[in-house]
Amino acid sequence: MLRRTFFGLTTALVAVIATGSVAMAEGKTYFWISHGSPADPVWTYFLDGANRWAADTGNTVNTSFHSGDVPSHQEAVRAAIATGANGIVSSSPDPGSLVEVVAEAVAAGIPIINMNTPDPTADFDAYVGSDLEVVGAGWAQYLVDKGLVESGDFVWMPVEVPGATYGVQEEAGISSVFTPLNITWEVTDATLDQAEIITRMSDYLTANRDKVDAIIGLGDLVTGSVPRVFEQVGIAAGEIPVVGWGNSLDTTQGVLNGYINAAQWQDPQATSYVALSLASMQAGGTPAAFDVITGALYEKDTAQVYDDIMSGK
Amino acid sequence: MAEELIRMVNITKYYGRVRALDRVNLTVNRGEVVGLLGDNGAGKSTLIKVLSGAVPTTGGEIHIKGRQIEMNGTSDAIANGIETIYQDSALVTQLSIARNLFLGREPVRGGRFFDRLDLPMMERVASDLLKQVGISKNIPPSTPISALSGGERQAVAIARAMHFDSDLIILDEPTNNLGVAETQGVLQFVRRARDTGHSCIFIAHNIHHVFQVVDRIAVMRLGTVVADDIDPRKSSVEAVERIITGMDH
Amino acid sequence: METQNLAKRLFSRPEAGPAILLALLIVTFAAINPAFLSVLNISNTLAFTVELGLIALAMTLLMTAGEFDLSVGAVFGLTPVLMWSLFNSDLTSLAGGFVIAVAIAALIGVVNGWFVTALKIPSFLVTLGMLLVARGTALYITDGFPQRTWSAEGEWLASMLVGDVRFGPLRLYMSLFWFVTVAVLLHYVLTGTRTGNWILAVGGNASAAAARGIRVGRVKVGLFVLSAVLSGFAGIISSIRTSAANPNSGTGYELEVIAMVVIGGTSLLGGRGTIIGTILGIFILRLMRNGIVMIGVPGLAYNIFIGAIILGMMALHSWLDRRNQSGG
Repeated sequence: MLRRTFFGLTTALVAVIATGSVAMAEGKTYFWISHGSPADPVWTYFLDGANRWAADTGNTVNTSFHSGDVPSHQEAVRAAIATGANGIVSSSPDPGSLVEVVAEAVAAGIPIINMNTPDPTADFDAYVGSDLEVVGAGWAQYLVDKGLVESGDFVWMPVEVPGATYGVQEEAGISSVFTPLNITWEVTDATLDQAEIITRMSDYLTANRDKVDAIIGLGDLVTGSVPRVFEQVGIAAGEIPVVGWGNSLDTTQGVLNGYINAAQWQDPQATSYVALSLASMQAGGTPAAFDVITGALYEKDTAQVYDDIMSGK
Repeated sequence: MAEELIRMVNITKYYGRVRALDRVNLTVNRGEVVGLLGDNGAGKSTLIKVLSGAVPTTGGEIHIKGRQIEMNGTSDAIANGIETIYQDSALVTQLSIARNLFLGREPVRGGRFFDRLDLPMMERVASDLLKQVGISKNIPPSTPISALSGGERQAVAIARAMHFDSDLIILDEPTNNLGVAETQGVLQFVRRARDTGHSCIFIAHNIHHVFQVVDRIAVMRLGTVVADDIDPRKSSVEAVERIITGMDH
Repeated sequence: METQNLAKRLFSRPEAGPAILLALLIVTFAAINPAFLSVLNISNTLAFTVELGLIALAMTLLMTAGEFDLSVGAVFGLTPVLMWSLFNSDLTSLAGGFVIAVAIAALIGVVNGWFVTALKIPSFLVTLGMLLVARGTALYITDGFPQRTWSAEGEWLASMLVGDVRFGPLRLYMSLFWFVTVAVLLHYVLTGTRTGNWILAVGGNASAAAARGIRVGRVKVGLFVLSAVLSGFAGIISSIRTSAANPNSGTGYELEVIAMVVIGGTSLLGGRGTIIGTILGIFILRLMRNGIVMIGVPGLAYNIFIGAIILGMMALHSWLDRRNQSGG
């Protein structure tokens, strides 16, 4: 009986090793970790880019979403390290939240690339994405340059999740332009629930319509809701200038229909794709020692391009 | 001669391996009050639960008015004229007297689809019953039960049983938490129920209460009936106590 | 003498507290910003209020019977996602998708009810688990993509559910009509029917109800189904009105709805319920959110105010309750 057990175990062991090495020969495993919500329309394009990269290169990409939950996000990075990932690509839920786990990845010799939300305090190998402070400043500057706001004006800035990295950094950039010009602003909380967003934004505009000189949508959901909110409150397209994120069909349509003056394209698919490529490059021996900055502000004349990308044409 | 109302034949009940009832045979005739006595664990509660449809038997038959009846739930018992008054009176304290009275048998009017409560009728009947039952001064039938004392609640429960013309009213330790005056009120009730043609099974710990009101006493011990036609006029409390505890041999 | 008695009777009703609070809120907010009572503001408030309101109406009956349903928000999100997925992939007509989606919501109610009544697991836990299952299902079948609902233009079902009518500057949605209908119906059921008596009894003293022959299990399962169906229905209405069937919609609604029901006077322990009270509770919570924006409370401090007002209201509630008990 002992002999049969021994024989059985050996066969099993051989089988496992065999399949293991076959799997290894087929491609490497990368981890793509997002702090976003799986139902957030923006993130679906980022995910799309990661999936395309996996299909194009034949590698496996394990993706996960953590909806802003920092401990859960940190766990995921640690899990990737523990299973010996070939490379990790990760966004940042909060500034400074990933310092430790990034250090662990670096110590383990695993390439770890920061995407979408930059966090210079952590020792990532490289960053791919927008520079949110530059983006925010760009929006503020756009409003000023086009004569849409002037000294003494008031700008309303709705955001889905107050306090999260993206809003905070964008506001810092906006502040750098508005403060010297004596332009004031207010950030308000809209939540991630579409119906609630429309309700809260409508309430705010109903109360403060005369006060608001311009609107900056700090996220895609709030910016994309502007047409519906204007319609509910009875504000005509273009009556109040609007600038903000533009990574959804709601926002491209909003720009095309005149509700939104300009919107920011984050190049979500490209961000994922390039970040994974950098990780792969470093895994193969070439250090990824530079950042890649993405993003473009589009207006009515070019909005159709992005609309087509997102409609899958 | 006494006409037989309920006959339990060889009723047995097992809870898992524990035998709670062992071939119990008990008869209740029309218009009589039977006192059911026994120590803790003798099986009184279980027997009552079987008779009121709350638990199924493991074996044995129940005959009501000469016919064997299948008991599958409390609504079967109620449909066959058996009403049970529990210690907590099975009353919903937040609901009014009228609604409690008709709980489970609400009168409706209008088409079947609407099942609209006939509240005016309910309140009228409740009002009458309250007067009959002698419950204090002018409590409107829409008063919640929470406004009544313990004795008054038992009175409502018994009045409910009598109103629905049940053949058998089972009273499970009805005087347990009542004061002296209220206890007398309940006992008075039981006599009136008998006098108006209802039979009763009366379970109590307090043998003296039982002696005051029953026509016949049955005693249970260890899951079976050990005596079932003790005449309270011819026996004494001490004698019955000895039977209960098994010290009569 | 007569009026004193009438006043006393009115004050001892459980709806008295919320009615006073609602009146206070309206008067205070309107005084600080008259635009609070503007036609536009009223139109906007009514739009969203009735969707949450439908869920609250069902929750009132369920809580009166002594149970909770925490999965309502998830069902609110899942049901429209199902309908629109079916329609957008050309598998059914919009009406067909509607029927199937609502049927699945009803099934969820049956499952909730079965776990609670047959397996005797507390409803809090059962519906919490169902919340996760429903939410996860919505995310999984959509792959995260929200369903497009723009193609609802011109569909008869859409107009019937969410068409809007303008009376001058006042804009009313059809959903208001549905809400009023359901409210009247459920109020009648709870106060004037045999079923309503059963619901009250089941929540007040389930064993007494069972002893009187009431089918406690059936009553509860029926109410879980009602809760799921109305949540799904509300979700569908919302998806058409906001042009978005987002799998994440409805997150957190369950607690908001329970707060509305409790503030309105329905007991957390069961046995006592009031639809009128719930309607008051719905408006109190929604007008509160709307009002603090209208009076200019700093954006990030909203929740402080809302929490404080809720606590204040519960204190007033309990004071009024105690006054009534002591025969005040």
